[in-house]
Amino acid sequence: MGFREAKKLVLEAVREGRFRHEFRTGDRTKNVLQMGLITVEEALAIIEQTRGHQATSSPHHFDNTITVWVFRPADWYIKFYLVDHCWFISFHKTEATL
Amino acid sequence: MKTIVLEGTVERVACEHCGRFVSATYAYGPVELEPGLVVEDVMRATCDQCNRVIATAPQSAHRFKAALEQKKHRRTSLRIPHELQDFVGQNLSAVGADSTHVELYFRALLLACYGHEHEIGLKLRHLEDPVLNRPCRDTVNLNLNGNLIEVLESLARASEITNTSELLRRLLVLADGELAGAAQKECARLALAYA
Repeated sequence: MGFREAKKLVLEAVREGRFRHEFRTGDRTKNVLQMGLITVEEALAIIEQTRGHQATSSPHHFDNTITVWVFRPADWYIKFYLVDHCWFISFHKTEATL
Repeated sequence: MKTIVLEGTVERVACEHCGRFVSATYAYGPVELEPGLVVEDVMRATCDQCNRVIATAPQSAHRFKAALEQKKHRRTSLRIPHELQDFVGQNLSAVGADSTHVELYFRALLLACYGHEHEIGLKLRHLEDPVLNRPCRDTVNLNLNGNLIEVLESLARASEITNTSELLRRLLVLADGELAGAAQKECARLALAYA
């Protein structure tokens, strides 16, 4: 799956409420979408800004058939993968802007 | 319901502790965001192997938000002379608010200081008034949110008064003088909002 398809699918998933958040160790309050600190509409607007050169992908370290995407639009860091729903691992501002 | 996760829903979720994708079951329960901050009634998935919380559903985001906002609130108690308690009640009554809703008046007072903390703080530092020497017989309990705490902290820095009770008592004196108009305007606005 390429960037365009990943972006289309993540936008659709968020718009339709088909997303979940992983809950990990570390700073558990950092994912602003998970914490309700931004709205779905705001999340969509942030993701929408992402351009191809601001995205990278790599295999999930638990399952290499799953592609993990990192979108870095402006000063944001968004990490997710698409399996059934969109699973967000991170959704926060980059450290420099916090 | 397309977007709401129901209790008992089972999904495949990555579990950091187990180091692989596992089966996880959703149910309402507590989630610890940080030491001492536990959010109740969150729709979350626990790993069927290690029982740790490994995912949350977006429908519970509002609970996290409320908990984080509550964390920013500061509860404080202060002692004031009965004369100042009367002054607050009189001002609340004048805008049609419940005269016992003392917290509303303090919120209005701090809002009236917003943007002018430095100059007001300097005035507070040098303020003198006989009422400040009266015995403090009444207790006021305040629950202030993040923005008002910032105003209070800015006033404390500018006035160099670190005692919150002393700071607020002096602010009340100022509310009977040059801050009267702004305080009353904010009080009327808040009273309307709370009505």
